[in-house]
Amino acid sequence: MNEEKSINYERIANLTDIQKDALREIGNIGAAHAATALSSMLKETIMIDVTSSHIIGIEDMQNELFGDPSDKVAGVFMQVTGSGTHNLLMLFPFENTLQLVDMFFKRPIGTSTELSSKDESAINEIGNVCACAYLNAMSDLLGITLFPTVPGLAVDMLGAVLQFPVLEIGRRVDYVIIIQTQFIRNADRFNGYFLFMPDDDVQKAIMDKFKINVK
Amino acid sequence: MENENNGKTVLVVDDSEVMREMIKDSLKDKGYIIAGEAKDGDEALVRYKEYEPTVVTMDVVMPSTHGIDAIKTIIEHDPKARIVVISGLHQKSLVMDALDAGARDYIIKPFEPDDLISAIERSITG
Repeated sequence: MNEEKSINYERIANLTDIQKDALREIGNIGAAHAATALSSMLKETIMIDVTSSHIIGIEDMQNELFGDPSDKVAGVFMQVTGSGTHNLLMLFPFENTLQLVDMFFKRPIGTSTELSSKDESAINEIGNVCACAYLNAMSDLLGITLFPTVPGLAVDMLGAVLQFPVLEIGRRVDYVIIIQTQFIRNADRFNGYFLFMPDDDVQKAIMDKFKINVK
Repeated sequence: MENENNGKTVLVVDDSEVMREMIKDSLKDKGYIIAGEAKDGDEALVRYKEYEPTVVTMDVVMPSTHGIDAIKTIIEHDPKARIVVISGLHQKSLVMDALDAGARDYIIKPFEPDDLISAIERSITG
């Protein structure tokens, strides 16, 4: 582990409980807004249950998610600029991705076994709308402008999808906020993960909002 | 379809294929003619010059030239262009940027078809 990473891990350890709570709360609010947008897009009542939210070092993301790097997932990734630079990744297990596109195209759940190019466009747009709702909520709360890049979709093994954030973003961002959610539609529950990787400027805006002093 | 929208044409600009389909379906249901579509801001200007549509629907976050810059280039070419922004982003500063650039209306994704049609009609009559 290089010196830069050692410093980063030290910073996570030094976050106070109230600082961690503030970061998690921002994630929870964003996820709730994303669920509202998803409901509107799918014309279905989608409830959301935040099952866990925690802050970990970016290199530990994989272990904290599904556990098995060979699990197939769909990931929608955005870089966000405006006030600082940070990153947002939405992950859906592949089985749940198929359910989402079935709902989107009004097909019986279970119809899809693979994703067509049109299905991929749909899941990318679902991720885009959810991510924008998330960013709008954060922008309103923090009073900062957040402008995303074009979303990129990757459908691959978890380990492959996480490779870019770990290798590239890990150079600039030291920790990731993981919001594990369950989207609930009637008796169906499916998992989604929001991974929010804020840079220093966004972290400071969050702490300022909650009137938390940063040493 | 015979109605008052016959002859009114719309250029649909969005990088998402599925979103373009949703917008086109909503417009066609009300009798609008789809003049064409574009996947990014650069293509939007080319298609605008080619089709001279009654209205343009414009996404914001797109590859190469994003929607707000595309509005500026279209308005520069045709100051009377009617452009309605359709975006998932509704942060105040971005909405103001779009309106300042010359957009006539701004609606949020996901949208109700009636909201889209109302915005299109406002852009034409306003």
